[in-house]
Amino acid sequence: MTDRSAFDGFVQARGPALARTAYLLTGDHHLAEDLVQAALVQAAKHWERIHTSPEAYVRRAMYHQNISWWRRRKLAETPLESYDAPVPAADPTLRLTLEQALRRLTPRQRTVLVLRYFEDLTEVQTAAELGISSGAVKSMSRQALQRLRVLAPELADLVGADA
Amino acid sequence: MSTDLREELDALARTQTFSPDPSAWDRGRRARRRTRVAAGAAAVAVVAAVAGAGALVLQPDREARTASSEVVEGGAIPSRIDDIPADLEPTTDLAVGRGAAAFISTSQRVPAVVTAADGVAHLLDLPGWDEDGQALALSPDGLKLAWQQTGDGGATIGVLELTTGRQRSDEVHPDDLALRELTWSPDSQWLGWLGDADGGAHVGQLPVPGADLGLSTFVEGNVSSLAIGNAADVVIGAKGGLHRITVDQPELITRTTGVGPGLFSPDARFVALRSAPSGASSTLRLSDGAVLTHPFPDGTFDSGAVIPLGWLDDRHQLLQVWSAADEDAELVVTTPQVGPTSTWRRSVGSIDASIAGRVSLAVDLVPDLDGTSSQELTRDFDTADEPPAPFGIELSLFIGLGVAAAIAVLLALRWLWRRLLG
Repeated sequence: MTDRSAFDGFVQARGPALARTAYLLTGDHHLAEDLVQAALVQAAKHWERIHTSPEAYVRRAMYHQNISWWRRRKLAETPLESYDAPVPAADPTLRLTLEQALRRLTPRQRTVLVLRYFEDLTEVQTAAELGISSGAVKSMSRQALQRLRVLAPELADLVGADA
Repeated sequence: MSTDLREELDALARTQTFSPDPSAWDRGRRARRRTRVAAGAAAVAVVAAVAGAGALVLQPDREARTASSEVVEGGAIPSRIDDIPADLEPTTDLAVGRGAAAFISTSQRVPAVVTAADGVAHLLDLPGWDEDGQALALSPDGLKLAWQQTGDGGATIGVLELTTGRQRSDEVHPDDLALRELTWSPDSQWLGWLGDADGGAHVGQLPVPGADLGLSTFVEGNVSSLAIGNAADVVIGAKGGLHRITVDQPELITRTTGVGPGLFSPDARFVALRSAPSGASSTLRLSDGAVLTHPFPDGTFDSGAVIPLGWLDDRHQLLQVWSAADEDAELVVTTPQVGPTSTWRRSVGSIDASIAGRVSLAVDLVPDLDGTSSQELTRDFDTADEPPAPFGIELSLFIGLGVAAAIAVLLALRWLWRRLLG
């Protein structure tokens, strides 16, 4: 199997899963596509080195790339004035509320949340993926859940009252 | 909580579709090639810089080779003149090239010539040279060397053309005189000579181009020294004064003590005088017989013996000032007297104490004065033979900074490229 066909096979097999994670990380469908695409370009660039376990590389690239993008957007965009105000209860469904609340988290908080509660990684594994300490993961995870509760009180049952 | 949250997150994530972009692979591979090219260029730059620096470091004789093979146009007088090493062998190949300085070696009692192109001293195996000889003089143009030849006949002067090795001999007196002085006219066309005899001294002129016109005069009493001009006019020091040699007898110019004739100026208006230790240099003005003095400036020499070594032009003299017998002599450029346009510049060069007083210089090699005190009138051949340290430091710094700058630029480009690619 050539490198190109192996890469194509990997993209075909794991692309959808990567895209789902990317969406949770970015909270935006277009950004999610771009994030996956950028990570796949990086994977193609270093394919000889990572071809035995490309998914771990691509995911890690996505995590870091998303935070990097957010930093740049943060410099270019004006912060919301009522950042911590509760999400208007215009959306009746829990899922839409969760989606909007996630967008109000910082990329680091959202990333930690995705890795811990979507990817089912332990605190240690999450810390290793992000290159931070386990304590930082624990702290950010707690802060993310607290913020979700503030942003969307109706998610209290979902995220736990004592988290 | 976790299970519910995971389910909701999963459900939320499933709203994202995935449509693979077939260009990802090609874009990745192009980026890889660009990185490799950049890395290769950086490596080549670093290797080139390191190799260049290494080549420079591993060529310690680079400057020496330049100095030894590069012929300085016309040559130069060394800024320091030392006696030759005691183990240097005399050479019979006398065409050593234009000379800058000549002296009788103290260590071997053999004539030595320092060549103008490279500042290298050569011991010459001159025909008829007697180790007790005192008469040796380099012409002001550095092309001819005169010495007394000993043999069966009378007093004989040999003249060697240093660039060709050609020699000529002229018997200047039928008696076997020991010549004490040999001196050149400023245009290197005449030789004046002085040989002691019973009751006085013989003084003569010898035209170097070869005309059979040698003249000599017997002067009673002690003759201290002589000078000869471009027109073969001779001034001697004798009988408590300075005298002009005429056909018959010396003609008194002025009475003075403590000085003796040194060298005529090119225009024959002045004669730079030798002087015993004092606080000034002295010059005879021939038009009125006045002895002009130029005191040593404050803070220079308290006292010094002066020996003229040449005239740079009709106004400026090159003198050797010797303040103490055990100290090196200094070369000084000055004018006959103090005035609005007078000059006094010390440390033009130095002469080792062991040979001070026996050195003649090719003064024509001194460049025309440009009026600045920073002008180099002599050349430091020793320094030119060694890699100049300040330049070496600057070069190393330059290479180091260049490599660092190249790496920084490449890193910056890499960072910028990644930012643009996102």
